[in-house]
Amino acid sequence: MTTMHGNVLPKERKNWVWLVVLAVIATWPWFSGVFVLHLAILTCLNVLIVNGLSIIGRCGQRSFGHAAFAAIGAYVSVLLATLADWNILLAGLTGMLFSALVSFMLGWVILRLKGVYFVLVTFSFGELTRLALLDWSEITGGANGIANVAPAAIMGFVFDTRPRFYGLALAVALLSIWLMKKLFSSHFGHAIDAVSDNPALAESTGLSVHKIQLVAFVLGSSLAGLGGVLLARYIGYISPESFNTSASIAFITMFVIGGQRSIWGPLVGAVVLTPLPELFRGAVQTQNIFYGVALILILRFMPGGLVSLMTWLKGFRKAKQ
Amino acid sequence: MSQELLRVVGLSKNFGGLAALHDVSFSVSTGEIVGLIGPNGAGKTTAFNVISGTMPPSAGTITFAGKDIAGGPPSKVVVAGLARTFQSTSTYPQVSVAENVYRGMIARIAGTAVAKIAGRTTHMVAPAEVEAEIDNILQMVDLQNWRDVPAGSLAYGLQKKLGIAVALAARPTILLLDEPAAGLNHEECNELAKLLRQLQQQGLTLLLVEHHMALVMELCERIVVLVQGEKIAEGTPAEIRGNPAVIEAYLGAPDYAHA
Repeated sequence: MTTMHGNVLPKERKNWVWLVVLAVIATWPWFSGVFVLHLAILTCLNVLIVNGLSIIGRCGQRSFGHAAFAAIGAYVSVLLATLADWNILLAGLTGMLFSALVSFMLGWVILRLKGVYFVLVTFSFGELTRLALLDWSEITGGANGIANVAPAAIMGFVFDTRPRFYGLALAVALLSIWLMKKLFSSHFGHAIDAVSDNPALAESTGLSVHKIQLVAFVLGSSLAGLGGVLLARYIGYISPESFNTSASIAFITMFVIGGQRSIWGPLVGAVVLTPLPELFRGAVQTQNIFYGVALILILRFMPGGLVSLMTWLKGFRKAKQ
Repeated sequence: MSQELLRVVGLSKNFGGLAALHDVSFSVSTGEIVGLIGPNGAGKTTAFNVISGTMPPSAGTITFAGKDIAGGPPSKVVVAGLARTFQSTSTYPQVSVAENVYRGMIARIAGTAVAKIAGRTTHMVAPAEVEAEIDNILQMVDLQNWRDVPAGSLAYGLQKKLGIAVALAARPTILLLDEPAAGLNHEECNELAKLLRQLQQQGLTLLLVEHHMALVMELCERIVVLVQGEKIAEGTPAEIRGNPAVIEAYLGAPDYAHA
């Protein structure tokens, strides 16, 4: 470093080694068969959705109804395309906007709540959404869900095979990571961290805690909405159970285990946790116990999540030199 | 007579049946240092919280630079130019001293929420300007050597200074200081007085709540005395010192007031 001190707004540094490693890992699924490709697609969508959760989390709130916003995006986009015959791209964007709109209205009211109260209300909202989808069966198909959802298509190009859809999912996941990087190096990103670190101080320096949390909540929920839109197009089937509380908890688990204070946390969390249930198919009953134990251990011994292992390794390497 | 900057008229604040403030009126002119004193429980901090917008008043008006700011929210009041510090230290403990000051600047340099999201204009154009201003502010409060240290690891006195630095980052026209000298030793107290006077010379108006009488008497041009939520006196330090009502309120003032 040329200057005596580190800058608050660091200059961008390119780390080519890491980029190459990531590029190799990201390309690998295309050459490794259907199963790996399937997991890779789910991982990409989870990265997107958990990134959304992370924007909300960095603001100091924990949303336990994150899957509900994915559900809203999925159902709105699928219904607009099937019932109103909308173009798939337009329907998808509208689904995402709808998630944003609902989160705005919900957030406006409930973001005044703190900590466990916010968790409880978002949890209830998630359940309410699921029950509404179950109950409103003339339109949503109730528990049967909606099958035969047409594959995604943009400008006539149809993402109807796994290799093609993986391309789309990967692009969206990378885009969301890029968005996170931009967001958290911007003024607004620093304001988000300020709000979660010390809300009273942030407010007294002119940062409106409520507005900032609201914008973060809407932004994060929109990413979940987009995730839902894509998931519906990939699986070809949606039902209220695809977006139940377990799904919300799975997102929270990825967020916490990956790392709550790093933009790489959601990526690490999704990459590590998405394949696990598939690899341990034989141990379905014990999965939740495993997740519970992992959560407690991480929160107790590694509050920075798996990402903090990397910083720890860096420090270790430096100490060795 | 210089221009009136802050005017409080008939301010009252009730908590249930308790009147923490009752019909308090005073004003602060541009460039002044005004002290707000009174025994514990007199309503000083309540007055601060109401003026800075943290709580709405039960009655009365607060006019700042010609605008009614009563009822807050604090973030709006700060943007209008009225900043405050806290009685206990209040920082972002995990991040560096520089980042603390930067966070104090965000509301001013990023403008509206929309600009914040679109947001790169200011800092993408001139991150160097942001850094320079951070250095400038840290220099002013003499914290430049602690620039990259996590705020939480600073000594108590330095954290209080950092609190002032963060408030200054908003470039207020008036700064409300809630017991800036509390917990400081003699030397730190002298330094604080020097700093506050320096800020006044740069055109900042100051309103401080303080228990440290020597500091108040030395620094303030005018003093407002609150007792049990009511204003009982207002005047120069000499007038206040000789005011029988004030002496009575403090009951053995020499003991309390080190004056």
